[in-house]
Amino acid sequence: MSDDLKTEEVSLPAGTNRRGFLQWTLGGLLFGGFVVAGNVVLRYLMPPPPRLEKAGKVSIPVSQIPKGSSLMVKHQGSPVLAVHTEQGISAFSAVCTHLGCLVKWVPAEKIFYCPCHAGKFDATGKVVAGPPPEPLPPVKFEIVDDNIIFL
Amino acid sequence: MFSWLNDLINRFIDWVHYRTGIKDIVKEQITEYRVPPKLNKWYSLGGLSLFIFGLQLVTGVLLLVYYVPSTDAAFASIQRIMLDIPYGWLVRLSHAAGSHMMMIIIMLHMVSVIFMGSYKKPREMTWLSGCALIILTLAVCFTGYLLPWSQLSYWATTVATSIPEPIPLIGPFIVKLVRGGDHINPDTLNRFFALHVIVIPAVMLALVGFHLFMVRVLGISGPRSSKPEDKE
Repeated sequence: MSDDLKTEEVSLPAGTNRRGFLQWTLGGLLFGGFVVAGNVVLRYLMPPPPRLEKAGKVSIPVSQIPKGSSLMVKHQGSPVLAVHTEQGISAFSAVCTHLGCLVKWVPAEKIFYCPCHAGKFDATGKVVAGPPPEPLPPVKFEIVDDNIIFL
Repeated sequence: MFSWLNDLINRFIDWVHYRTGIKDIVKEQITEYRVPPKLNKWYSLGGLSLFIFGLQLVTGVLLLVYYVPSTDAAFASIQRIMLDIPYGWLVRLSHAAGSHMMMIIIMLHMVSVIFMGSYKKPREMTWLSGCALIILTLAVCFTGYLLPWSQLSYWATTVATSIPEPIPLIGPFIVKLVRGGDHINPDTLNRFFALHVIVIPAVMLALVGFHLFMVRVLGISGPRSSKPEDKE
């Protein structure tokens, strides 16, 4: 009788005995628990979707940018720099075309200056110095009732 | 069905075993570790408190991701965790409930050790490190209570930090040292924060390691058996 049992046990493939079954069940339960806990941690750490994604068009009053000054606004999730020079108001993407730092308007030199690698753009967005490969892309806008509305 | 996965896992374990001898350690310390006969639920309390300590470390780090330790922003950041962050309520309330559970479980652990006389020679050092751990757990609960900077935590800390005041000569000195001023102030929040998130947990981690090491070196002090054949 005991010999019968022995041969039967040997003939079974690995992992199909009672111990194997229990180990896999317990392991599966533990793994399931970790998946649930991992989901909680991941959802907790994941930034929530922005609430003002579809807030429509961004508009700022012209009076907020007096001549010679600049204003950074968030438009469609990316930063836009509006400047008011002698030639009037213009707006560009504030993301430097080199490595993506934010440029700032230097009124004294009338240039956009990137603080990361000293890239310089003139008031029309053209590269005048430094490593940027392309000019700053302009951002379209229209002025309605003394309000700048970005398109 | 899963034999290929078994093979893969075994090959990985063999790879690690060749370099560390991990199989022998697991065999000696876990799978074939011998405990005294007739252990009961009271002997699970140490392991249970270790589990909750681990849970507190995990939830604590998660809370640290959104909590801001400043008198201006602390309460608002707690509100954000509770209301805005997905599962933030679960993480924070687990941390709060876990602290209560940890106190209850280590108290019961201590009661069982006292009741069974398990602190006696040669286990005095395990006992003393456990005593230090229970005091540190109280300290970590106390410092954590102030961090939400709510009315409750502010006044509870005011009352609790004034406890040493009646001690002759050094009482007012201790109160001033703990508060970092004459009253609870922004500095109190920051020093409690430093104690709560790094100083006390780091010391506790080292002491827990020592505590467990001593338990494994000396073995569990099992329940006394009336029958001589139960020994060994």
